[in-house]
Amino acid sequence: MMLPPLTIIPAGAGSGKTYTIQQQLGEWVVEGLIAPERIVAVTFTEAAAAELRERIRAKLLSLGRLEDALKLDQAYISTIHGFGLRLLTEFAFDAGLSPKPRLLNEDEENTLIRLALSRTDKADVITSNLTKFGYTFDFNSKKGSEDIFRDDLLRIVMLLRSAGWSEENDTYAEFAANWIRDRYGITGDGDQLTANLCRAVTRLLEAYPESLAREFGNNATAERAFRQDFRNLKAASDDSTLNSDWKLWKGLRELRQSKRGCALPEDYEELSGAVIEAASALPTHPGPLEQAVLHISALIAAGQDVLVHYAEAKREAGLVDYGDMIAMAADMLRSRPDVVNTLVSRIDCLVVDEFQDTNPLQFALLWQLKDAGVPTVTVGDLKQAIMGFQGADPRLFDALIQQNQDVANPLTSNWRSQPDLMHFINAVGPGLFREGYVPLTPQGTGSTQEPVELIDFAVKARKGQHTVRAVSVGERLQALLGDSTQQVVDRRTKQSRGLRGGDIAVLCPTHKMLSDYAAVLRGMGLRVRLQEDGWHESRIVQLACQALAYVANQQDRHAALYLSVTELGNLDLRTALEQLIANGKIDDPVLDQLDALASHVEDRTIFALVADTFSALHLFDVVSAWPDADQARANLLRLQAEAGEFMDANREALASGGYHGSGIQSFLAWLNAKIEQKDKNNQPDPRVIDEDAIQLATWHSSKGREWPVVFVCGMDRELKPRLPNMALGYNSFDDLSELIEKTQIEYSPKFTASESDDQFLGDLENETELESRRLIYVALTRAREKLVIEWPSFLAGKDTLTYWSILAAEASVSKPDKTISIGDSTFPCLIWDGESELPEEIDESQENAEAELLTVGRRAIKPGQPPEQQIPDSVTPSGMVASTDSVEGIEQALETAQYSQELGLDIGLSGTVLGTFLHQCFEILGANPGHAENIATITGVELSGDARISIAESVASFEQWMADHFLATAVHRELPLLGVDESGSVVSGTADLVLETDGGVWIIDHKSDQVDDPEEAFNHYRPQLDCYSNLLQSMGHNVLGHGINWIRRGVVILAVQC
Amino acid sequence: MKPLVHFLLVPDSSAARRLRRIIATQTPCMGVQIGTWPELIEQARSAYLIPKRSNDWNQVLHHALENVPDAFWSQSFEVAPQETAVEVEAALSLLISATQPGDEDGIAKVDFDQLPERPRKHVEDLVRLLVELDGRQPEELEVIQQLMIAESSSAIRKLVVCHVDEFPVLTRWQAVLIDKLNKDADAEPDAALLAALESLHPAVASSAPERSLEFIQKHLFSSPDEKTSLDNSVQWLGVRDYLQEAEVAAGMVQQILAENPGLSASEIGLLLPDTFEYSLAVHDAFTTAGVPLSGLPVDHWQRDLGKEALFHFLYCRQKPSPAMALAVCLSSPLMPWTKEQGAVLAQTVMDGDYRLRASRSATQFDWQMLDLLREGDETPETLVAAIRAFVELLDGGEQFDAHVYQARLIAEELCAALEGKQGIDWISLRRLSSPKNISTGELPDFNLDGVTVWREGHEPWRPVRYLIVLGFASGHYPLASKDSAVFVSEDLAAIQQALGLMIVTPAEQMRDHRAKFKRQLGAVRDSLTFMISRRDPTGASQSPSESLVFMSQLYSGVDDAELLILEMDVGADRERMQYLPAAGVCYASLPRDIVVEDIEFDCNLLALRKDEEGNLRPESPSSLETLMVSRFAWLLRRINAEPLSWEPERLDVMLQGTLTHQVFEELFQASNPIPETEAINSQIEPLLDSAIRTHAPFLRAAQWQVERKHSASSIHKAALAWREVLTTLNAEVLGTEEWLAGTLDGLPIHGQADILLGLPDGRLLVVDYKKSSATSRRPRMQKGYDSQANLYRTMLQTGGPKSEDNTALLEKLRAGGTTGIVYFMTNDQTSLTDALAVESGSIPGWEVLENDVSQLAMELIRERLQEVRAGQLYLNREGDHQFFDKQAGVKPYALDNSALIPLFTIPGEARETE
Ligand code: SF4
Repeated sequence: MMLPPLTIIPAGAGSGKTYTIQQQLGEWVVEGLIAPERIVAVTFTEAAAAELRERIRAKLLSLGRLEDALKLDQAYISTIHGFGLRLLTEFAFDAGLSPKPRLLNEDEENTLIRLALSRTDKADVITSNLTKFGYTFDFNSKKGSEDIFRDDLLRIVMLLRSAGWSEENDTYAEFAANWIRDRYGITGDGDQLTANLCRAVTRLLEAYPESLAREFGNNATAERAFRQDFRNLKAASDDSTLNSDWKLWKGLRELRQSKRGCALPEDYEELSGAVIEAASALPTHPGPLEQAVLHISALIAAGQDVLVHYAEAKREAGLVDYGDMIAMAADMLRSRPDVVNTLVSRIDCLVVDEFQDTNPLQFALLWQLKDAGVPTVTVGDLKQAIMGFQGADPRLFDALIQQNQDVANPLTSNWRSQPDLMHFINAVGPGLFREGYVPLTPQGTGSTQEPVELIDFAVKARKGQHTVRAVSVGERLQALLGDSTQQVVDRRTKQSRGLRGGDIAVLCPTHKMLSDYAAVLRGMGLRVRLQEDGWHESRIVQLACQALAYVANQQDRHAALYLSVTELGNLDLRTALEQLIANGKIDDPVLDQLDALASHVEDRTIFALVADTFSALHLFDVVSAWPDADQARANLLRLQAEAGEFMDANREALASGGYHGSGIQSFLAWLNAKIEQKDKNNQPDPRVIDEDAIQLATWHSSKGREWPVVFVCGMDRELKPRLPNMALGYNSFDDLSELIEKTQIEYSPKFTASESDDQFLGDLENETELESRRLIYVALTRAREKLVIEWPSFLAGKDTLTYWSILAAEASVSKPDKTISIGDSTFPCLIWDGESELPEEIDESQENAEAELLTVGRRAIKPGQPPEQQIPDSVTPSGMVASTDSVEGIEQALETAQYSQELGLDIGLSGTVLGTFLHQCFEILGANPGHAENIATITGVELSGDARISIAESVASFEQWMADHFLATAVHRELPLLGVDESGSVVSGTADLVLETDGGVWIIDHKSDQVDDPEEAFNHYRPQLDCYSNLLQSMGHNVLGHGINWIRRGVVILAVQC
Repeated sequence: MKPLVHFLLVPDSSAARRLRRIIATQTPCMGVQIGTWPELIEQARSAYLIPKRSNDWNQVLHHALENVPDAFWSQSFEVAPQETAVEVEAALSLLISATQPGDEDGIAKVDFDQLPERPRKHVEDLVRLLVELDGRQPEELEVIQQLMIAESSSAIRKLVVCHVDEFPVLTRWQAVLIDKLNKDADAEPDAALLAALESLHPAVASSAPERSLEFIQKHLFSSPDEKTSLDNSVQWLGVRDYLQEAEVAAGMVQQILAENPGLSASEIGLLLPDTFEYSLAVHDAFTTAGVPLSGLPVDHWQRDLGKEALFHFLYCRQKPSPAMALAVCLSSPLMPWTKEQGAVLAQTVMDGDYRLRASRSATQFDWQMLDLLREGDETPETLVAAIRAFVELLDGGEQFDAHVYQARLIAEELCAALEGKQGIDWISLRRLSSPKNISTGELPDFNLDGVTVWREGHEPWRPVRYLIVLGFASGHYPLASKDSAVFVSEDLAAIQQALGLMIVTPAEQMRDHRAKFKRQLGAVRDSLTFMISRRDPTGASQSPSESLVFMSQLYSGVDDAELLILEMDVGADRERMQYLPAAGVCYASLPRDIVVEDIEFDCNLLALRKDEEGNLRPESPSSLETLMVSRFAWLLRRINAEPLSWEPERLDVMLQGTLTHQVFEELFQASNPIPETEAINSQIEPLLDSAIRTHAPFLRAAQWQVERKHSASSIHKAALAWREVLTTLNAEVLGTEEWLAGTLDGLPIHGQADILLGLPDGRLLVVDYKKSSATSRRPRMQKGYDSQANLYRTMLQTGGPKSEDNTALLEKLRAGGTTGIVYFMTNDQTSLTDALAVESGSIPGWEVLENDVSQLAMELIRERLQEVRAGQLYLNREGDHQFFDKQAGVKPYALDNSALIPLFTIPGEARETE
């Protein structure tokens, strides 16, 4: 049997898709259709990959396939980027890349793109007049026009890349232009329209050459309006301006006319009316259209140029970015059939999870494998396609399903939600997706929870929308948690138990709304958890950074002041300032602790310095008692990790972002900028599980998760697309293998005349609505037992598009009956009345300063002092030297023998190198004087003939003396010795010379030091010799004595064992 | 007779340590050496007197790689020579060491046709490389080869090598070498020694396992016939992060010791991944607990100060040089000046002053160094000279000798690379000098009584009764195998088959890692704990080790591996944990309360800044504005306690303003006629360029092109509009950037006015250019909270220009015409003024405000001056922000000057609103 070339598994929420994949692959392995190490599985996150690998492995093990389970190590189960990267490294040589490509960081990417941008002149039309093209300083993001322009270009670059753009051609620009023209509508004769307006303006100015402000500006608004009008009219009298400045047209369309209480001269009224009328032709003027076309064409052309330069720069530097992992891998496969063949011969099947979240390029990469004959299984759910903001494009999966209905094998069960809840969702589904909805048969266990509840907001709050609703949600939460009869089924134990905070999630569409809710719920004494930002500003991180600044530069008075007057310091502000004023410095123990550190920072790594700073101030101990101990601790740990990242980062990469150096100041500068990036200032989760805390999450981030009880909030959010907008489109889905070639850029400009926007907005609105339906589905399907939905019925009758309007279009709620009906089905439903006004007092002060902390981790350690001295596990005699005072007072008769003259050497060696060399000479020449000739080659030391001779002579004299003196029966050179000393340490070492004689053994060590008094120096080395002696004695030898051969002096000192 | 040494070959230094103790305690002996493969090679080399080769291997290899045409690595070698060489060398070694030594040519004769295309090409290319290398081989192989041909008679010692199969796994070459040594020695390995060696690598214990511990020791990674039930000899704990692992472990060790009187800490073991993080965390937690450790590796990385200095020096010499690179050089400990002086110099540059001025005490070396840093290079010759001079001047004192030495070495390499070159390839020079941390060698403290620390990559070095395994996360236990870009698993298998070579495949590597992990677990007697971090230190989630599934399969009733894990955060789970310290109660305590209250000093705060004669230094308009918004911010500035920080250069509003000012100053000069439009059109670019050279050299770099263009066009637009204002007013420029001085209630004040205009009717206008729009200035003027231009007017009224040269101006002043103020807003070309020189609107953008634009501001400033004179420091109130923003129309930027200001802000309304 062969595997089907394509299997499509549409899998609704909670339908057990991982289980299905695991079962399927397990079966195929057992049937011998695939080998486990030849599976490629692509998932959306690392965690999902790990889980999938674990589950397949468990499955194989449970089938008794141990070897197969082991082989799974070699399988490619990873995220799509991991897969791309692995292809790029495995085939680096084939692609002509560095085999160890380095991932580009954001700074580098930014700089390289800037550089690439500086090398193209295709955007000059735009950059020479940014304002005209709508680029101005943005007060919200604090970005300048240059940055905003660059963002736009970057966006184009990203679109081009995810469209898989590779060669230069004009089709993108052409298409984008046509696409805009099609939607802009009919245009008139531009010159004519401009001339008309110009004429009207001139006529007005002739009649009224001065502003009306002084005469008629009877209030501030009017005055401002007249002044502005006049300025506009003046500007408009120049028709070249009029032919390019569309904002000016808009201004002229809005000239101030007579108002009640402020009648203007009749002819002014008339003349300005003519101007207004002429200016109102703006939407039919071809000018704005041409400008938009010019804009997008220049952007695309520049984007293509930038991509070429950028790619070159990266290749030269051995860098890849995230996009490359996919793009280059896909490119390689496209251009290298041999690689595809090699690859295909290595893969038995390809599994793609969350297929709805692929972007065109990822799709193309995967599709190439499928086209090359790799049996492919795609799993996913169109209804949960909500990652559009990341470039995912569900239309691809949709097209795939449409074209392969025969191999689509949808899952039809739901294992998550309790049956009553599932019925409700099954009723909502068709309303959201029409025939795209496949009902799921509930398989979950029953529950004692009421499946659906609404909190009805019949009256719109006058202000504090979020707060008002959060209060009602909070009240319901309090009621549920306060009611001991509320039971849920524990996921791990499968047992029924009381409801806890950790069983509940509150889902909102936006982060902003979440933090408003969090504030209110906390104020009501509820324990909540929410990923919040403000990491860098958190107290402990601030303190640590100030401490680092001080360590870096002790002259930093600000840091010193900060530390001394805050949590870790001991001074009050007045005292500290007085000290600074009087002495120019501050005296505080906290600074003393750091001063000790600061004296040796120079070559410490930043990672070590951060650790040193933490430990000098005992920061982890300090925070372990703080009320927000867990968060503070997590924040500190992240700072340590950031230091690690900074240390490991490539210096050139950092430099390209303007960050030079690897010291503290550079680190702090880098960190300051890093936290400005999106999501980079989030505080890490303080705990893994918090059983009592209600989880707050966005709808988006709730995907893939589940809770027993889920509150869906923020249904009243208005859904409005924004202009300008850039997106990818396709001119056809007919041939999916050709998808890349069919990709286009769709640019919806923002025009000055709102009429011109309408058509573009209309298209986008449809998109937005589709995505919103999917979001609603995701949010509603998170619950296992109970769903509580905010029901802003005050919106009834309004025609704004909201989440609620989508859901409510199919539903009718009956308060008296406590039911909600959808289509033909009616469900029981608890309905609570929501607040419509802020309660008198929300006492936000009663925030539960939860006084008791969990006694785990650091708090469970009993503080202690480590012992000062430890007995070493092992010792080597050669390292033993006696201290000067212990040498004194040793009274032992020493024997001195001069066997040769002093050995004068001038061979340019010193220290240990010389020592090793002389040892070698004594060993080798002692054993075999015949090697004297080639001693230089053997030791690798250059020697003059004289030196060689004097060494050989010295060794010979020594050997002679030894032979004469000892009558040895055996001579051991470089003898390894191994034993244990009296304190239990293992002693291992190599004795230079051990002489066996009839009466016992002698030990002699060669020393190359220059010493003045050989006898005194001997005492220094006594411990070493004693150690060898003891060792030999423990082996049963009778040690007669030991000695040192002072090579340089030609003297042996012997001590007879007493 | 030649002496004989028994060499016991072990996989690593930990196994050696363990074996030494076993043998030393059983029978102390001589002539026995225990060591790893490199040590064996060293021993053999010295026994056979094999000379050292010169170490030019790297060059030889690179050269050969370059010379083989159309090899699979050729393209990659161009872009990444070092990385490519490493990878190819590894593949080459792998291949050679799988052949019969001495028969490397043999491989060339093999018929590769049976291999699939890609591996065939790769093998063939490697063979070509081998030919190109002409007898040279990777270092270790070269030595082995020499040993193989060495005569046994030439040896001064005989070596008997004891080795146990797969402990360690040997390549063919290694195995053959051992055979040769043993044959030369002509002696049998000692049975007792061999037995000791074998005891480290035990075959599976034969006694029937009883507890979960033995079951895992015996059956992990195999499939037992039956499962067993789980008891408390093994446990898996889920904690948050690596630090918590270490903390929990420290508490558990204390608990185990408390529960088992008489137990030595050395009988408890920790098994750690080989990373800084774990070493650090374990050290930290166990120091807190006062429990000694034995065998913990210590951090041993050092910054490469020498390379770092050179690397940044190169940035300094390539103009425009980034300020932070200059600052890094200036504050390097290798500089000729002191650390303190370095810090000051660096901060000066980071604050935007690039002149690199020497301090008064500067030596000649200091001067030379500063010159070197200031200058730049266009040609290789000057750069070579500069590099040489630079490293000569480096001086870090004795402590950093090694770093200076290193710098000189690299300097020579750089100079060599520059030799004979036409231009400077900055990028490759930088790559040559790119700093990496240097290792100083870790020296763990191994002692008898401390808790035994094992490391993931090592064999256990002494057995323990209790073991806590840390870092039991994905990718660890076993460590992942390494991928090769030359051969993948299948290739190796195919080569093995086709050529009959013995090659270690990644799968075998994994098996090896698993076996080591089992040996580690096998050295435990009583209890095993695995710690699983659920989060990495940045807070991202982590998965448990891949081995967990294999473990879960050993026990009945565990159908999901996750169920093995007891979570530290779950109350019920905590109750089931072994050796978890008994929980006391721990109450949160707030850190010290910070007292936030207004302060009264005993001194006149205005008197803090005096010049050498003891006169008060004058205040500037901007300083007075700071005072108005925040007395605290003002004081910090006055006592030099503002934050010092580094930041890469960017074109912020301040800098944009500076550049605009500079261009305007040049364009509209005193006693010159107002420039014509054409003049403006042609002058903007050169003037801006010269402004950039002085104030922001970095902007000349290519990546700032968009900014430069945009600046030029907006300055251009503003200049044209300003010209129109001047001509319409028929104004005469009396002074530009004129220093004015005067007094405010007796307090000296001074400042530079952007431009002073005289009108035909004798009136004067003080003008301030602002790089913003009317919307940001109009409100404060309307509300009477604008002080700046008025302070200039005050200077004119109470003093005048500092210089007596400007006679035209002095004359006008003496004539005593009234003085008006104007703000020219360059962003929207609006002029905001209190002078009714012409009607609003008669010049586009001319806007007259008819109220007193500064009255309230001046009142506030006067009041605050009174306070600080009296030593009163009122802190900011929470309401201040709102007050200034809304009521005064002033954006209170001064409140952001220091992180101390928000901390020391008193709750409540602004005092002004009370
Ligand atoms: S988007 Fe890419 S990098 Fe991010 S999780 Fe998915 S595969 Fe990984």
